[in-house]
Amino acid sequence: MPKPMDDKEVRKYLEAFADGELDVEQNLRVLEHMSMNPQATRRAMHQQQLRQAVERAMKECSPAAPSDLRAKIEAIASQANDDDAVTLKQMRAAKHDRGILAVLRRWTPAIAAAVILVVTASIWFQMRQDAAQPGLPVYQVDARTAGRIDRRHETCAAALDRLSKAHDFGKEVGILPEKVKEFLAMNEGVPVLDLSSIGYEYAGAGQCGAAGGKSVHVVYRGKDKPPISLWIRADSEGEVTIDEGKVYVATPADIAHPILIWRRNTTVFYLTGMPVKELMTPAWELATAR
Amino acid sequence: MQTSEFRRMAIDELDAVYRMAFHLCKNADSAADLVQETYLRALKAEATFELRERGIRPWLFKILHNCFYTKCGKDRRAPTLADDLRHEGVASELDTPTPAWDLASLDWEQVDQRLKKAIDDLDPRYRDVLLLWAIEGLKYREVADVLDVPLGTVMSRLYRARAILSEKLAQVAAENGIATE
Repeated sequence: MPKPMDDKEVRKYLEAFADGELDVEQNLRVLEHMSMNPQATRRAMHQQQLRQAVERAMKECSPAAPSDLRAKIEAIASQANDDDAVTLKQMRAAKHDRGILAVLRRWTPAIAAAVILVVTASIWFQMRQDAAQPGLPVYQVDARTAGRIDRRHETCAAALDRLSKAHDFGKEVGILPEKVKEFLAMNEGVPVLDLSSIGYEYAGAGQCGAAGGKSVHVVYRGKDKPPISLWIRADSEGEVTIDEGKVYVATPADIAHPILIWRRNTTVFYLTGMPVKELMTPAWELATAR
Repeated sequence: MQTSEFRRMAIDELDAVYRMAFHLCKNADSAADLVQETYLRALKAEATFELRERGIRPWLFKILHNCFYTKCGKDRRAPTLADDLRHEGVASELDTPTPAWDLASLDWEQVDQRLKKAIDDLDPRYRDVLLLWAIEGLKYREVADVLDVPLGTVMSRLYRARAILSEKLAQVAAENGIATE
């Protein structure tokens, strides 16, 4: 026979009982109390009904994951296969380091300040170096534009080879500008998108699934070079506040796939796939194409 | 665990992860971005995953919440002094009378609408706990783990969330002429 609960214990356990959080002995003791106290039974029932009501109300307005998002996540998962060996090794090493990290955590504020200082200095130095290259000026977008772009294309950049087949852009780079113009319903022409003169072959194009408006994802492959991705988007509303004739870094320059961005009339181009320094040559080639 | 098995489990939870992202962001585009970021991080962190009783869902939720709060630039998870004080006060608050009305006696459609509004209006700290517990079926300890807060904080936040919702529903009951004490 379980020991009866006093009022203090009942107050402590009743909700947990209603939520099924108690062990067998605690459950029996609450039940014993409830058998003598109808108000406690009613309170427990009320809590259970409330949970069901919340579940019911919120599930009705909870959409399932969209099919394009599902396809994208599956693509990321299959793409990640290639990097498994390295990643697992790194993660296992990280596990061993956790003890050290626990000690370091106490010094987090000081470490964070130092890291920010070093990263800021290195980005600034990198930007200056890039900017110093003749004919290849690079600018930083304003905070509003950076916020808008944020990490929007990070997923596409992680799965550069995956292209949506929903729209046919053809296999010839020569007709690609016309196809892009038609797809984006643009009034102006799209410049030449051929990068073969600098060693990049057109590998295909597809509709970009990233949120924030219709855009075209073009993939180029280079010999002994990683693939690069170009997104083309119409921006007749002038949402992206950058000047024409300049190439900008739209994300932190030190991330795995920084994005370069430029404008031609009402069309905005985004290029990613390599560090900023290597990316500047194809960016400039495209930005100055006729 | 095999990598393929890990990925299958992760993708099986996509609807639940998206649902929670949608409730956090309240916007389909932002929710999709958040889910992508969550899966990128999860796949990179595969080696740190340890399979427990409730599968991969609580682990994915933890990453989701970390991504969300990092993106917001805020740390709403941290327990506040007020939280702890409320937790201390939970026992005495339970002395309040039990509702005299029965939820089953209310019009469900009306309840759904009012509940949705009340949940949307909740302080995010309370809403996070409530949704993880009520919709996703996480245990108190799992919610505490996802949000990185003590178990007592989960209990007090949940208590407060339920008390607020219960009060709103009491208004619905009163409007419908169902007796309240």
